Parts: sequence; C-alpha cells; structure tokens
Amino acid sequence: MTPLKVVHYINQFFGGIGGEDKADASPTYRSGPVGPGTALARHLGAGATVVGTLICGDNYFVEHTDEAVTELLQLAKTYDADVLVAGPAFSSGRYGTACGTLARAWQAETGKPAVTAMNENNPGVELFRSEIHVVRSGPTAASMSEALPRLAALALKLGRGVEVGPADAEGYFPRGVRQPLRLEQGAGERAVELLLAKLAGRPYRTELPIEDFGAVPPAPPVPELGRAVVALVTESGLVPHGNPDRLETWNASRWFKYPIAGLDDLEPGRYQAWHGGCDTTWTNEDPDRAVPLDAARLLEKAGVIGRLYDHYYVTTGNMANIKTMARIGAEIAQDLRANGIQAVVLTAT
Amino acid sequence: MTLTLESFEVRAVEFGPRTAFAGGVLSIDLEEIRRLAGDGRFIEDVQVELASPGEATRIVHVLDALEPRIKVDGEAVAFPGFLGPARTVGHGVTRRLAGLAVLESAELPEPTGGILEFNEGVIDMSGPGADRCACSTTHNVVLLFTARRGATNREFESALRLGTLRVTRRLAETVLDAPGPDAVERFELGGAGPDLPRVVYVDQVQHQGFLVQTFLYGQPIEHLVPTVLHPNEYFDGAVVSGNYRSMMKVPTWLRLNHPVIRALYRRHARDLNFIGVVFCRGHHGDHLLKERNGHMVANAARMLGAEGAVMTLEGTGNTWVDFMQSARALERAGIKTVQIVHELGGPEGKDWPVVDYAPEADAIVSGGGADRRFALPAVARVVGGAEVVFSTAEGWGQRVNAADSLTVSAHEMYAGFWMMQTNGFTARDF
Repeated sequence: MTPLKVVHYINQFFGGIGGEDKADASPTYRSGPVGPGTALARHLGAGATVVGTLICGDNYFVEHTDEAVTELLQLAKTYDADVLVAGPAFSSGRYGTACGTLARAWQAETGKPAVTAMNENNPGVELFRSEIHVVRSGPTAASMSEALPRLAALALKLGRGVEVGPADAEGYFPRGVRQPLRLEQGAGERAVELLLAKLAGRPYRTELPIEDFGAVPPAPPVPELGRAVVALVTESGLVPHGNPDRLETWNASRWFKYPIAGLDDLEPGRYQAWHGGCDTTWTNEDPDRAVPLDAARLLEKAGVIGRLYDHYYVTTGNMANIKTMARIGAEIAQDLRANGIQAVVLTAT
Repeated sequence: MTLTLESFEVRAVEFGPRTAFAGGVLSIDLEEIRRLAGDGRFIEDVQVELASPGEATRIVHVLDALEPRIKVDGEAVAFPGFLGPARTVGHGVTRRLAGLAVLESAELPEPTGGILEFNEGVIDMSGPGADRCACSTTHNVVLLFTARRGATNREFESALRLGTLRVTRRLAETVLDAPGPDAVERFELGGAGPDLPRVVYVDQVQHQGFLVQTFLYGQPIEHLVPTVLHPNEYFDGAVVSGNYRSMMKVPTWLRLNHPVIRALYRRHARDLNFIGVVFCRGHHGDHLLKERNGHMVANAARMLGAEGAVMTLEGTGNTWVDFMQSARALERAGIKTVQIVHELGGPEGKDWPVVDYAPEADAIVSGGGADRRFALPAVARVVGGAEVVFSTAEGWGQRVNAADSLTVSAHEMYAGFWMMQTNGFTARDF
C-alpha cells in the first residue's frame, strides 16, 4: 500500500518561527514534518508520510481569516495530500479556531478528511466538532505525547476511508450523532455489570450521556392585559374535522393556524383532536377543552383581555422531537410577533 | 419461595388428530383449539395458523403473545386472576412449553382513536426484522379472531384474552404427564453472602387505559401504587399485558421469559443479592402523581434494604418523567441506579434521544435508536391480514400491502423497543 500523504498545520510557535511576538506571521510552508510533526510522523509509522507543514501566525489567521485560508489551501495543493492534520491546539482559542477553520475549509474544498485535536476548554471544540473529528487533548503541550497517537490513528483511518469507531473509543469529541451498534450482551446483562461497577465505586460509563435541555425562563407579566392582543396556542392536535392538512399524531414536524374569527365556540364534530398520546374522547366531546375559545370570548367581552387574535395555532406534542419542537416554537413565536400579539394562552394535553 | 421451572422444548408444531406433545413435537387438534378459544357471545370465528422460525412469514395484527405454562402442584394456577383465583404464584413446580408462543391476532370491531387504539407491530420470522421483534425465535400458534357483529371492543378484547389463555393452558396440559423435561431450573431468592450488594429490579409498566393496559393478578393496574413482587411471580403469569402500543409493549411472553429478571438471577448469590421487584406504572396524569410514584418506589426499595436498582420502562414520552422521578428519588434515598432505555433521536440519530432526564441518571444502558429505519424484504406468506396500517409510514396512517418489502423502524415491529434492548442493540456517540 502506498503511504498516505499527510499535510500538517501548526501555528508560528510550534512552527519554530516565534512566540506571541510573531503571531502576525503570514502563511508559509516547509517540506516534511516540523516541530510536533516529527513525533506525529513517528506515530503514523510506515503507513503515512508527513509530506509538508503549513504554518501561520495565530493573530494573522484570526484577523485575516479569508486570506489565510485561501493562501494555506493554495500552499497545500503542492503536496496533493490525502488528509490534513491540524494542531493539536490544546486550550489555545486562536490556534483552535485556526485549526478548525482550516480543517473545515480543507474538507469542503478538497473533499478529503481533516482531523484536529483540542482541549475541552477550547471554544473551537463546540464550533467545529459536528463537522470535524476533534481529538481530545490535555490543556497544554505537556499532553502532546497523549494526543499525537490518537491523532495519528484517526488520521490513518480517515485517510484510508476506514470506518471510524465511537467517539469514546477513538478519543474524539462526540459529533452530535448517535450511531447504532450491536453488542454480544443484551441490555439486562450490561445493566447488571454497570450497576455492580457503580455499587463497588469502580469507574463506569453511561451508554447515553444526556445533555442539559436548558430552562425556559418565565416571561414577565403582560403590562396592560386589557389592551393586549391574545392568541390561543395548543399542542393538543386540535384540527378541523378530517385533518385537512395532515398534522401528524406523533413526532410532529409541522404546525398550523386555523381561523376563529366570528366564532364564540368550537362546535363538536367540526373539530377533532389529532393526538396519539392521550385519550381524545373529552376533547372531541367539547373542543373548547383543548382550545378554550368560549372562555376567551367571555374574557374579551368583559374587557379582561384587549382582543382575541383571529386564528389559533396548533401542533401535536406527542413523542415529539425536542429540537423540532424548539423550531416549531420559534416559528410560531415569530408569526405571533409579526401579527402584533402580546400574550398567549398555551394549552397542553 | 422456590420455583422449579421444567422446560419441554418444542422443536416442531403441527396439526394432528389430537392435542399432544411427544418427542419435541406439539400436535394440535385444530377443532379443539378453535372451540376453546371461542366465545359465541363476542367472537364470530377463530382460525389457527402456525409459523416457525426461519420462514419467510410475516405475522400482523398481533395483540398479546403468551407461552404455555401450567402449575403441577399446589393450589395456585398459572395466570392467576384469569384462569383461577388470584393466589400468590411463584413457588412449587411449573411446566412450560419452551420455544412455543401462542399469539392473538385480531382487528377491533369498533373505531378507535387517540391513545386508545391498536398500533401495528409486525413479526418477521426471518430476515433483518427478526432481531427486532418478539416471537421470531419461537414456533408460533397464531389464533386469528374475528369479532361477532355488535360486539364492543371491550367485550371482544376481553373474550379473546380469556380464549387465548384457555388455549395456552390446554397446550401446557400436554406436558403434565410427560417424562423427563429438557431442562430444569430452580429460582429462589436468599442464600447470598452478606457482602454482596442488595439489588432490586424496578419495573415501570405501561398503563393508560383500555387497549394500553397491564394486568396484575387479573386486574388492571390503573390505581396501583408501587408494590413489591417476587421475581418468580412473573414466571407464573402474574403480570399479563393488555397493551397494544405494539412497538413499545412488553408482551406477556417476554415477561414470562423476563430478560432483566433472568440477568439478575444469573448473578444472584455470586455477584449480587437479588432481593425482589418493585412493580409500578408510568403515565401518571400529572407531575405530582409522578413524583408521588417515584417516592413510593424509592420507599419500597429502601424498606427492602436495597443498595442498587436496575430500572426499566415500558412506553415512551410522558412516562419518561415518571421514570426519571423514580431514578431521582432512588438516588436521593442512597440507592444507586441503572436505567435501561430506548432512544428516539430521529432516523439519523441527530436529535435529542430522550424527552426528560434527571442528572442523577448517570449510568444508562441504551437499546439504541428506535427511529432508525431499515428494510424488511417482501415475504411469501402473511398471517393475520393482507394489509397493515402503520401509525407513521413516512408520516401518516398509511395502508400498505403487508407482504411487500417495507421500510420500517422499531416503531413498526412487535415489541421492537424491548427486543432491541434484549438483543444487544445499542447506540454510541460518533
């Protein structure tokens, strides 16, 4: 097998040009490995050759990003490399941004893979990990010897088109994708193993790390409710009978708004709850239970609210995807704003 | 409480002049079984079909699945509360037809809607779907029920459950006098050294109403508060499923062969001390009830002296909140927990896989992404009906030819969520 050709990107410091005083250095290149590239080449072994090294000052890169990327990609062309390795950038923010930006541009321009390495505190991790394999490293160059073998291993796999394993096994930051695997042991056996480790105080690792959903802060009170335009919004799946727009009963991807102008009440039989996650008998018996139009009209007549908006908004909140629901919420909110609505009654199932 | 479980391995099933078991072959008298399954008040007709592992056969409209079991001694009966008084089971000698399942297949006579409806989940006896559904590895006796005109869903559903249980008992009777079982297992708690960690199993089952319900000793569990069961009670049919959210359901067959209870028993008195089951329901109607349930689960586990808990849930969505409340309450009571879950992260695995979580749930075992789609091949034979309606076939209730090649996910497979867990499917961050 012909050795893979690797091109390596490093900053002015690791490139031997100088420290912070040389951070304005413009892009340049050297044949073969430089600085950490020498050890990288050793870890790559006979399977790959570091054919050249691209170097740029960190300040130059972040202050002239477009030019830097164009120049560096131009320089890289000389080497006709199979894979780009950038860094490790450890916890250096500018260096991390440079590594991630160049790696992303390289992948887009050449269609070939790139890999970099950073510490979890490097803002570049969040910026780039969904698009580029970012290997975990320690915070400083003291962890170089731990980062390089993993970086080299991943560069070889990506360069050869070999399937890359899970993030924890390969040592890169999760890219936001859960991929299926099949194991020998069933869930029951694995659960017992995991519990025994947890009980004995041994290290254990969850199979499903869960990110915080974040909290929604309550909105401040409506200053003058008696003058406010109020809308009815619901996730109850209440739609006109027959579900003309085909709202989903679960895992909804869409929302709709239906007119209520001139109506004081949602008549049974004309509306239907299209929701697969609750008993819809009571809503179908009286649709105002899900979209309280009758009560809202009384409040409108009494002057408690200024005016009821002439449509109600609906989606289905059942086995829903949280990201999709966040998108639907934002879209509805945008439409509410565009129609001058100041307050919403949000009814849930 | 000691249960001796004697297994008679079924290697083939066939129709014959009389119902009998010999040499690994179960013969079935078709007319006898049809008569036993029937109920002239609510059931118009019962047909019986057989399906075995490896066949290019798809079974559709499956409600529950059971395994023939019978008590050899004592006063209790298997499937207590249905086939006899609700006397405590889980002790004495039980005989079973291993490798055999009795399936109910039917379409409900009245229209349904919302939560209270049947969700299609198919069984493929071979191919890529077989690993993601229950009863693809068993010889299946499929009872095909047709409702009598005028029967309500409740009357029909109740009648076919009892009919199927009668058939299950009749088939198990064939081994009452049979010589030498193929395997004998003894299940008992206790006998573990004092140094071994005390572990409970917390089983949160699904119950939302008619067609989405679970029975304990013959009764629906709507008003159940968390209660303590001996794991052996499952092996005698104390818990029966009436849940027709087919993809997420735990069929009675699976509870009789409970993969988590069996996993705990395998390590019992060696690596841990299995002390019992806390049985509870999910889908409580509001947050206070969910929290109440969680505290009662934790209290039951604490009073058993538990140090650790393996937890499972049946169902999804809303019931995650109940599940996570229990996890939190257990951890706060000083009981370390592990949860077994499915993931709903979308077809590509890029979305949030769960709808609720507690930071205390830091040791989760995943059965993988249930939304991942895969192809089922066309089949030579369909048992149970010519067409199926998937609650989401690319979006919305779509009627499709059941024999065709189909693109599905675990949502369209019978007990898909639990069988993915049981069969080693999982997911990792990539």
